[in-house]
Formats: sequence, structure tokens, C-alpha cells
Amino acid sequence: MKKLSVLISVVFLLSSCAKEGGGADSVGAGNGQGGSLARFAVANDHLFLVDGSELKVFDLSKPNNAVYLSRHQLNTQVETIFPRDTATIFIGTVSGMYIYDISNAPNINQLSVYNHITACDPVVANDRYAYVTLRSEQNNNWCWRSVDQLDIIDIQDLSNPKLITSFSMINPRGLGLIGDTLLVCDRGLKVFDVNDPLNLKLLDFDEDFDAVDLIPYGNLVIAVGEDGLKQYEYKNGNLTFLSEL
Amino acid sequence: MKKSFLLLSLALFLGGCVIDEPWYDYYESEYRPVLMDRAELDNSVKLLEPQRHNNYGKIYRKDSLLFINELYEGVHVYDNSDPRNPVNLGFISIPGNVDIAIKGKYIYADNAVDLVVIEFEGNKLSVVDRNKDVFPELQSPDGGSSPELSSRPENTIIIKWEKK
Repeated sequence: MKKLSVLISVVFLLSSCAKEGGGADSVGAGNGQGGSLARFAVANDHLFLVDGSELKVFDLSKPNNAVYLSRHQLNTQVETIFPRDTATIFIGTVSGMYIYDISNAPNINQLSVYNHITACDPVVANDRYAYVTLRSEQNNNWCWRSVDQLDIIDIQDLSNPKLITSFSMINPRGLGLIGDTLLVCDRGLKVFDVNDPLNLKLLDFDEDFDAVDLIPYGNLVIAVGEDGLKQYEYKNGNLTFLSEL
Repeated sequence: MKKSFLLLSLALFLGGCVIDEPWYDYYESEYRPVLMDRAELDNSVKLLEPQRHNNYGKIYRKDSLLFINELYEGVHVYDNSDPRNPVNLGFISIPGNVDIAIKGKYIYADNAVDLVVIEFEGNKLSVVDRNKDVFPELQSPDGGSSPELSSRPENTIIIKWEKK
């Protein structure tokens, strides 16, 4: 009986891992997937890089030859890039979240900016909401002023993002989405049910692993911390430990 | 370990900005830059045997492969087809590396100031493209300036910062 259930869970795990595309998974065929703190992102046949205060676009239609196409000045300190789908990227900066339409890359179009208090902030998003963590950092000249919180922003209208609510956090870092489940690295790895954004439910919390960023892939969660890497299977609100490095 | 990550995040926030921002006061960094000759940088990407992790940087996934950055050094490559038992396949040495992204069999990586395209298949690797000077030079993690750079040899690139 025990063996059977192990077998079933392994099968579940493998089938979930084989799934490709959608949500925070890779954007475009054959492309990989980074965590929420990534500065590089591939969407379709373009490579997007953020550094300093710029967004740079490279053509990858011949993937063995990255051809520089354009650069876009954001006039703020850019930190992270999240490709939601082949048409939309979200950029986390110390002053706010930028949304770009990339469907006609390299002609990209800034749809909106959601400004917030100066903070360090990665962003992830689904069709309806963007989730931004704001982190204070006493040893960082850019972020020392700020608060520690999670902002949930309504992005149904990408050109007019609206803050729905904010939740206090301890010192949040990277984050990731599995459907209506939000995982947040916040002095541990927290799992929230975000089905109702006004009523977040903490489903699970691994306090023993100080995660910094994560990649959700099917039901697999790959989380990296300052001292190691831990993998979990996510199912029914629970994280089950798989392995660590 | 904690420092390495702080280093990483600081490098991200400060990258390219210290010089541009006139309001940013001069102070001496607690880190010293490590330089590499341009010619050596051009041939610096190599596939090595599995290496020990000294710090854990960013992570990246492509199919069943898992890549874990070693800050300023390169990426550890794992076969993660069984996430209960990831297998260390080797280490791609990329001096000055912080981030990667992948399309098909091609890895796009910052190799200090350059963007390199690495063709990677199983146990072989080759650099198929190099865009020089795409990125600003790596800035010190604490944003401070370094007196070592005033007497800097020509044609050298900063590949990392080490704590003094």
C-alpha cells in the first residue's frame, strides 16, 4: 500500500514536471525559466536584459547569434524582469513596477508604471494580479528607507494598474506563482492561498530554510537560499520535501 | 554565505550607477577588484568537472537541467530529471557571471562586461558568439571606490570583487 502511494506520487510528480508553458513557466517554445530575481529573460525570439537603469533587447531568431537591437532608458534602478507571456514583461525597479508590451519587439511599448515607496522589489504576475514584494535592506543604500510588505496589484487593465491591498512581511525576497498559490521567500518559504486577494491564507511555511528565490515548475518548487538549494513537491497547500543541496 | 548574497544583490542595485550618480559620495570600498586581461576573458568560458558550492546565486531551469550560479564564477549544472536526486554534471566556468537565460541548446550569459552565447549539449560546450562591452563593469558590492583601479593595467576587465 505504502509502495503504491509512493509510486502514485512519483507519477504525479513526473507528469507535472513534464508540463511546459503557462503562468511563470518558460515563455515561448524551447526557452528556459528563471527565478523572480532574474535580470535576463527570453520570450519568443528575443532576449531581454536589465542592468543599471536600462532594458536591452537582443534578437535571437538565430539563437546562436544574439543581435543587439535596442535599449530603453527607465531612469530608475532596474532590478528584475519577469516575462509573463509572449506579449508582456514586468520589470521590478527600486521605485516601481513597469509593464511593457513586447508583442512587437524590438518595438516595445511601456504600458504603465506602478510607483511605490523606494524598496527592493521583484514582481510576478498572472492574468489578473501582479504580486510585488517590497523589502527594506539596512545595508543597502537604495533600499534602507523602505518597508517590508507584499503588494497585490490589479492588472486586468495593464495600462492602469491599481493597488488592491498590502500585507506586512518580515523581509521578503523572491516569489513565485502556482495557480492561485503564491510562494514567498520571507525568512523561510511561505505558501499563501491568494484566491481572495483581500483574505490571504497561509497554507504552509518552511521556517527552516531561508529561501531567497524560487522557480515553480508544475508542482515542483526549486528554492535557493544563501546556503543551499531545496526542492519540494507542492500539492493541496503543502510542501513536501524532496531533496537539498 | 550571507555576505555573498548581499554582495549579489548590491551588485545588482549598484551596477552601472555609482559613476553616473553625482550625488553619490566617494568612499573607499571594503572590496578589491580582480582583473583579467581582455585576451584571457575572450577565452575564459570552459566546462569543468563538478565543483563544490561556495555560494548560491541565481537559479535557472531548462527541461530537466538545473543551473545554479556561483557568484562571479559560473554555473553548476545538474541533471534534475529526478528532483529527489539531482545529479551534479559539471561546472561551466564563466568569469564575472551573475545571470543566465536559455533558448534551446544556447545559454546566454554575462561574462563580466560581455554577453556570450554558449552552445551546450550534454558534455560539450563552445562559445559561438560574444557581444563585447554590453554591460557596465562590475561595481563593488558596497558601492565604494577602489584605489587599485587608479593604477590599472590597460586592456583589463573586472571579473569579480573580493573582500579585503
